[in-house]
Amino acid sequence: MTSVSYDDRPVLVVTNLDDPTADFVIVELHDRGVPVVRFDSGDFPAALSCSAAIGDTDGWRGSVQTPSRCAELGWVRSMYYRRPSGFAFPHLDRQDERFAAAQARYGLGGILTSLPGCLYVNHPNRIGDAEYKPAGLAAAAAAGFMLPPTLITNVPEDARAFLKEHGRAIFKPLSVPLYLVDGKAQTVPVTEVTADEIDDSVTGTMHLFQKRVDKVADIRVTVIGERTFAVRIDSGLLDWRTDYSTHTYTPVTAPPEVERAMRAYLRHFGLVFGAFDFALTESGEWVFIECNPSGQWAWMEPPTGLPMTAALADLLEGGLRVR
Amino acid sequence: MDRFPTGSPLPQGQLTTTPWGLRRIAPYPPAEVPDYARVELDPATQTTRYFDASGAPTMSPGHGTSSGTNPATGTTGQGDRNSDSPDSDTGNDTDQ
Repeated sequence: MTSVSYDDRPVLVVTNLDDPTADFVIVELHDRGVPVVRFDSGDFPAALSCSAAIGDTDGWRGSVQTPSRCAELGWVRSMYYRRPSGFAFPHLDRQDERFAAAQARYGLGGILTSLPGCLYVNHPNRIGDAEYKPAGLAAAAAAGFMLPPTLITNVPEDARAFLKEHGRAIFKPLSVPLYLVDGKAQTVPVTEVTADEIDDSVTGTMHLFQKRVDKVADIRVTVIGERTFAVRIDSGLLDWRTDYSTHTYTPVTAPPEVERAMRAYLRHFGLVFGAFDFALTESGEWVFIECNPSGQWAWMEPPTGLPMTAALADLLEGGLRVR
Repeated sequence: MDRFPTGSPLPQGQLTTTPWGLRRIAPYPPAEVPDYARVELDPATQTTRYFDASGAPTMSPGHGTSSGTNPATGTTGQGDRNSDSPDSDTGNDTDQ
């Protein structure tokens, strides 16, 4: 470990096996001669092992071992945390599985989230924080963004009053856990809601209602380290994610006040990457919709020519050295 | 990681209603069927190799594009948010 130079320090890419976006970044790093160790934490323990010691050293001494690579924990340059699968022990009974998964999550997960000298893109715990929509809205308000009026409630009268006051509004789930119908995963599409649809079942759990923004287009801003890539998306859809074939993409420049607010937002959560969604109004206002700490971005590179893969590779290659 | 640490549930027996939001639950929009049958990691490049049903190498599914599709078959490009992933919150956090 003593004679390792910075250039030998690997980038960890933590994601599932079917992740073309990660592949683009890995190819770029490979071309630059930056060592990469890729694994899916969900492969633990069948195809991933880990040992980490502390007490007589400043930080962890040990490694993670994949079938093809080994990374010294004290020498990880950076981590690209994408979309690893969950821990699973389906062959164990329920209680044994719960025990095994909890040890894996708090043990392996705990080690991978506490590597000294590692730049996280993004840190998994910070991703976890930023995935809470209420926390995101509160941070967005504090950062100075313009926000659509939003109500999170389990009080039917309040929901009804909100919907009457704001006219066109939408319902959004606060989170979409696994929900299977006939073995098929379900979601809650973002759709409009009116006051007369509300009844006492709103008491059953928390619900998020939001005034529908009268928009002329959407804007996706991908912030990668110090770089900002803003793209206007024209689709004519309420939620542009529902049909990509309708999109046209135009690179734009974020107004200075929006840029400042995005920086403040990312600083608040400790993120170095963020995919911001805005609704662009007729008068040119950028209304904050949400920021996804793990948003997709690679599909926008070919139609816009924006060098996002290179920007991500720059970030991961530089690690904490250039920051 | 649990962002709202709690102890074991202590149900008091009060009946509460099935949430309103569940009325809106619906299948994901039809997914483009991936034209690969198997994936494996290339040990030299650390990128993924895709194979079709006959075992022949095939193209990767693309630029992490199509979102809002059924994430059960994989993840990448299917669901723009982490929370779209079936095993995100519940799958992961129920192991507390």
